[in-house]
Amino acid sequence: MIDDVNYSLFDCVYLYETDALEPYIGKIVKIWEQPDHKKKLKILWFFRPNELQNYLGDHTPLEKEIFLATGEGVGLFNINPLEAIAGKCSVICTSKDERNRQPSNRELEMADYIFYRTFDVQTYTISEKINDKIAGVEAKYLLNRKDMQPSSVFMFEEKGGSGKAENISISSLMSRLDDKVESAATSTKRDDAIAGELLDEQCPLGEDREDVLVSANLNFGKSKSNTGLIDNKPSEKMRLIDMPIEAPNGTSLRKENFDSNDSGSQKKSTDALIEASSDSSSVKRKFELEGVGSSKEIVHMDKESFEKNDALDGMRFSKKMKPTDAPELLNDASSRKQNFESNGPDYFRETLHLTNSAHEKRSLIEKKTKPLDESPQETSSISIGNKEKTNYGVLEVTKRPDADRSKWFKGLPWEERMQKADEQGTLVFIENLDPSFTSSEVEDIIYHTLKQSCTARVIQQTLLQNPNYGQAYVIFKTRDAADCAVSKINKGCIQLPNGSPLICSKGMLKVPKSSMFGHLSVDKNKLQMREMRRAVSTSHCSQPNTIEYEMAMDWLVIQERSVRCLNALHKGQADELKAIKKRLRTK
Amino acid sequence: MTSSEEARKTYAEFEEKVSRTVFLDNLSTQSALVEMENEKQARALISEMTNYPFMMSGMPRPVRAKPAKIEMFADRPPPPDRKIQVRWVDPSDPDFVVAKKLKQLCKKHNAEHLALIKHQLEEEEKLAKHQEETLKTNYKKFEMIESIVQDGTTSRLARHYGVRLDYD
Repeated sequence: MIDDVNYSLFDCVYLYETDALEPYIGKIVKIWEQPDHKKKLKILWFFRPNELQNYLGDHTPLEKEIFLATGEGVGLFNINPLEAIAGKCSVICTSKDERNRQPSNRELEMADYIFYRTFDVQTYTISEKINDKIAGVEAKYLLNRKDMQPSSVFMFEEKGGSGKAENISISSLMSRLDDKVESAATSTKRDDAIAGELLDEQCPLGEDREDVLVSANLNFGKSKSNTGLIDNKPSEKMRLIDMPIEAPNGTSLRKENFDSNDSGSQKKSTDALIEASSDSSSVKRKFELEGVGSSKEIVHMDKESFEKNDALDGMRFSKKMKPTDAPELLNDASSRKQNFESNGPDYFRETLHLTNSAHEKRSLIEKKTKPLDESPQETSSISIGNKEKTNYGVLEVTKRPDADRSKWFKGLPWEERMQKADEQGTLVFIENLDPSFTSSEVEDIIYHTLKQSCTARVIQQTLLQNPNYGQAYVIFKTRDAADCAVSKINKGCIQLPNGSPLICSKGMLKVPKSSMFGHLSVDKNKLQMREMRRAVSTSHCSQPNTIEYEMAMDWLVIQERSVRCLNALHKGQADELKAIKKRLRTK
Repeated sequence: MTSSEEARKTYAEFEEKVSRTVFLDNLSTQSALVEMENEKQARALISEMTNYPFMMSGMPRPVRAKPAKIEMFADRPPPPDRKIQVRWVDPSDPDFVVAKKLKQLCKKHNAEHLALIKHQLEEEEKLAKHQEETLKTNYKKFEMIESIVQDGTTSRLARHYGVRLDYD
């Protein structure tokens, strides 16, 4: 007895140490008195996840999870004076181990901490297996004890005692139900509504109903007594009861309830019980109106119908696209023709186009990589390409008809092609793209706006790229085509769906590059000194007591600063961009 | 419909791949995308590399690990069911003026961005130079210590001052 609290063997306690931020948690595994009347405790430790941070690896600890020490070695247990105890702590074992009595939901809710995994102080590993003996103590004492009944059961018995024989089962059922629902992580307000409603309906219950409830209750009790096993009986029975009265909505509700529960059979039967209690149709209706079910169902339904709509929309869209595409292009072609005739100064450029496209067409035919039925469309779009100058309508970017053609050949690596293209003057750098565009989408955009085939490749976003703007390199077929595209895009304006106009320039972007990279090396023959012993080019985590570590810290500081600077800049830029985009008439 | 379903599937697969990929920066002059077995491993790797300075292919500059983003993949599949609408803006359209402004803004922003990057690179270069010097000095110091230990100066001094010398 300390401070009016009774501590007994195998209790979990907090232990304070003056310089520790959080109290340690341990389990008393031995108490004895020394000859000099000093009481001593043997404490088996629990570890907090933050104490094991370095060993967690890819384990993610639960919210209240702690780890039981196991194995042999330092850190397993300590002998402490009785005075070190700072208070009791409730720790519940949630291990699925068969030796462990499974805790009830209420116990779990009340627990300060839970554990189901152990940390081996010898091998520094985490496992779910609990050894037969830890620190000389049998495992059964370390898990939840069998004789410790959940307090909620006592509560029920008290309640039950005050009622009539028939009411006992119902009221205790109700309170249990209440209890379970409460612990089922639904909001308390809803619980109250359900509980109240259920109690209201208690009187007009028919005899049959009562029978059902009683039997359900029996089953429920059974499932509670052997909680380790997942008891199919109650839930199965419930399903039978539910079947005839279940509306289709009900199914979804139940399903959702089942999906969201992970505490095993107990809650399952509770859910079933809810359904069973709302057996009679009037109750059911009321329940649907006011209970948890209704809101959940509506959300569920909404989601479903929304999804369906979405899918339908998508279908409609894609269906619409294909047939209208070609005629539109044809229409354009005929209207373009008139423009063409009155287009004096551009004549030269247009003829260039013509030759290009004609050339393309010839090569296409020669290669015969395309099915015949597509060629009429191809010719029509080529003819548009010849006359295309100013089509101010919205262009829907779909796949180019020849999109798959390039896949027949595997070309040179991109870098080499880019280098070559830069020398030949066919390389164009495009800015102000949407960063999410892909290479093929950029190619499609160029095809639809300029009627030029090209190969594009978006620049990968690394941490050094501006995340507000996407960039890409495009290689055109000829130098003239590239020049033409640059002047057209820069003089005119191609507006993307997000409102940004394209910008392009010839050639490669000049990216600042550092000559020093920050990798140092010392003469390898003289790597004798302790600080320098770490080999230069192996992968390793740096030790905190080396010069290398200090230097690494410098790098981390500078890196953090750069990241923050860049983020601040980009945020500012994004705001500016937004402000100007607001002025756009069309979105 | 099958092709769009396929596209959706490819995209979902791609997204999954992205989620378990780690972007490694500051590996000499290049960066790399490393695909892990699962997302959990990727996250563990990132946290470890963030918590400790991790040296790879050289020291003392540590590698930086970040979760990969979709935009980091050059050959990525387009998101399914996306329709891109582009248009040529008529010069008489009021949007044309705004678009011109946007173009200027984009150029300005990229110039700012590049300037900042350049500045940061310079800063890094400075640090690298500084570290090189520090290392040289340290190296010299150790060499000096080593030499005086080897040529017996230390033991003579120790004898002179009556201090005991213990070598590990």
